[in-house]
Amino acid sequence: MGTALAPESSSPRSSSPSASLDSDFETEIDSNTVDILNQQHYLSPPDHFRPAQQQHFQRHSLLAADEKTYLHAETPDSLTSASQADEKAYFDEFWDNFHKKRKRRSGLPPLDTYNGSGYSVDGTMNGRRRSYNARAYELSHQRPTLVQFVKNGWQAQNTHSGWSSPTEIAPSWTQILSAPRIRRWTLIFLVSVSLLWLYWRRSWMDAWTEHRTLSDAVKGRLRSDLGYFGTNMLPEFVGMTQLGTLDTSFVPGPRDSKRLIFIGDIHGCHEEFSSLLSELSFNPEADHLVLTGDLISKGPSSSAAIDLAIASNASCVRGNHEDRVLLAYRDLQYHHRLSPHTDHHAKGEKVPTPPNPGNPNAAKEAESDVDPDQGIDAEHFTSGDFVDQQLARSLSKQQINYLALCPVILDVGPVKDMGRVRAVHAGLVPGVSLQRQDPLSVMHMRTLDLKSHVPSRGATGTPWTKIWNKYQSVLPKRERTTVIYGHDSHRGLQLESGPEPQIVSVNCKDYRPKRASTEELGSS
Amino acid sequence: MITRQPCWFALALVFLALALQCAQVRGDADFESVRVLMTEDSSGKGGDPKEKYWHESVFHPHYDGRFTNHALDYEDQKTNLTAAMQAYLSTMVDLGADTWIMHGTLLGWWWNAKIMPWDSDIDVQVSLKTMHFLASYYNMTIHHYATSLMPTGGRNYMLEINPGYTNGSPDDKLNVIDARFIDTETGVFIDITTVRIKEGEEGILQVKDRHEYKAKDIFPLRDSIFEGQPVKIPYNYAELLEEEYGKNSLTNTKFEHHTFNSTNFEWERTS
Repeated sequence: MGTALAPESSSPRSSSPSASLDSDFETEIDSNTVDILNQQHYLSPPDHFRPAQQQHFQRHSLLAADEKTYLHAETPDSLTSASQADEKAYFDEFWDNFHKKRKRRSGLPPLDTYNGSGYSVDGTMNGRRRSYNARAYELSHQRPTLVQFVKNGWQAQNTHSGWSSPTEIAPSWTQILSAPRIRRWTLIFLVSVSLLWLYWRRSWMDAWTEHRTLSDAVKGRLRSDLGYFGTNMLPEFVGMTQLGTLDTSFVPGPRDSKRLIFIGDIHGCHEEFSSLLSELSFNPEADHLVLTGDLISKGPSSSAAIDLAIASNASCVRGNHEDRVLLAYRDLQYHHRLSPHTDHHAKGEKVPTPPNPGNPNAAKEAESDVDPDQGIDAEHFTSGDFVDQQLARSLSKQQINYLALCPVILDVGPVKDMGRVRAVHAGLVPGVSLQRQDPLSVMHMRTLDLKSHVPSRGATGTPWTKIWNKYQSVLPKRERTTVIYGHDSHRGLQLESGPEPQIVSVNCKDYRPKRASTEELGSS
Repeated sequence: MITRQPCWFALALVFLALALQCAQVRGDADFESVRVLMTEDSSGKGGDPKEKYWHESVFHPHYDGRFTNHALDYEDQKTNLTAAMQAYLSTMVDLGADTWIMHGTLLGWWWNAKIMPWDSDIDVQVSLKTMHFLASYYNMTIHHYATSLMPTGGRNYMLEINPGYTNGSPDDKLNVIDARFIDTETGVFIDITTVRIKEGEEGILQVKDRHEYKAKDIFPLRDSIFEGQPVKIPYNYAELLEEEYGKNSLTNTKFEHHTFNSTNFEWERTS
């Protein structure tokens, strides 16, 4: 740039180092011009000292006259008269000194910034670079002029690509890691990792651990039955049918308009049962009802509910309340309390003569009569047994027969998109054949123990459905089984898979302080 | 001839006689009164406290020393306990008395409807009404059975009731067992305990051995088969077993040097 000016006279200053380098230029520049030029181009060290920029600095930068005061005594002279080789030598010497100083000061932490800008000796072009103690550098070298850094030879001199990487000394690991950029990114990395971990822990960890435990629970079972529930012999119970099969003609095919309707836990709410059937437009010709247990007990009209079920030709499954009432009935029979000659009251007596089916007060009437026999068996008739025995008394033989024929497990058979379908009252243990399912558990279970698959009545723990679904997911599609169940009214309707269901329900009256709930679902 | 003056004396004598009749006999059935084959008493009567009714043998806690002086080996014990169980269940059905199996015997039923081969202690329960009935009419009765399990001539079983059964307090630690069904030839027996309604708590039944149960868990009883005989099982058998013995008892197929074979449903001895 400065070379554009036409020199007028030669002066000692014109033979400045930079000017002398340019062999093209024989012209001389007067001091004024030089001043102007230097003011424009020269960077004062306190404010703008950037060695990197110095590389791009004009080859033809000129020094102002007053700049001489900054110069070391030796440097300008040596440079003025030096040829390129000498300059190279000087350059080497300079760097040697510089690095020696750096080495001495290697224990000291370098300055982070020099007036807000970071710079380094490696002379990389952009951005952050390692810092060094520029002041110390200045002081120790008494600052060779800027122009000394700009030489023709620097392009050709590959050895002094020490600008970019002083190969004599590689930075140590501590130096790398303590660089501000590294530290900054490390911090960002750690913070984001911990945030991610917290997020995962909060949202996903529970699901993940559940998935893992379920997988383990299921895979163990698939490998071997030992140590899991269901290895014992099936207990044999008199008057209990383990397995029943639904007539295949009831199962809807893909093209017909038949419906298979499942209703669970009616609990003697005969009115609601009846209105639900009319809501569904129940057509006995085309539709078939399957009741998933607990048709009786708790509600006001168990007897009427059974009659409606019989009239609708409904299939049924044995629930825990049916179980109790049927056992109580057997008990009464065994102790001959149902035969007429031992009974001391006739009012409201339904056994052995056929009862009045629609009488909702039958149970209450029987209750109000004092049975002299009961006084002797007071210890049998504690609260658990008494209610069931009363209900058993109020039912007719035909009704009892209907309940007694309900199997514990009903095999509905294969249904499109649902695999093999089974209906039970409470649940099934995965990995156990239908013949070996423990009947008590099938009628009561809500949860399964993860390790041993022992079923439990209680609600705390892993719901058996989770383990069941996990187990099914591991099986090939054609071997999967769908279970339709009732019993667990607290959890309510749970539909795991299949198409969007259409739910039909009716409201129930509150017959007790504790609501006798019915989970009513209509599914085709 | 009826005299006037000694009238009071006669009355006193009559009352004394009546009182003697009604007085509760607290004596136990000692060796001399029940022995069949033994000439020496091997019961631990000498070392037992006076209040204790039962005197288990000196060589084994589950053998009656009045009838035997040695314990049976593994196979014989299994056979004789099975025979005793069958006889007991049959007797109770004949008498019309409700009884159900509990504890280790129930666990044996759970696995394969048989007594577990290593179990020498058989436990059954009855209600208080049934115990009153047995005590009133069937105490010290002998029941004769001849089955394929027994050698020719059959076997006699004695039903003995502990008079201390009327005291239902669990503090009566010496007389926890209310009755026994004893094989008079081999000395093996079945322990019978009574469930009573716990005072002040509704729906809870308790036994003198400090077990407590919800009435709903036992009643109504279920009809099943045990050792080939009809038997009654508590309603909530799985939960009762789980509470008493833990979840492992229902799933672990290795117990007491035996392994459960889930194909033929037998406990096979491993050592």
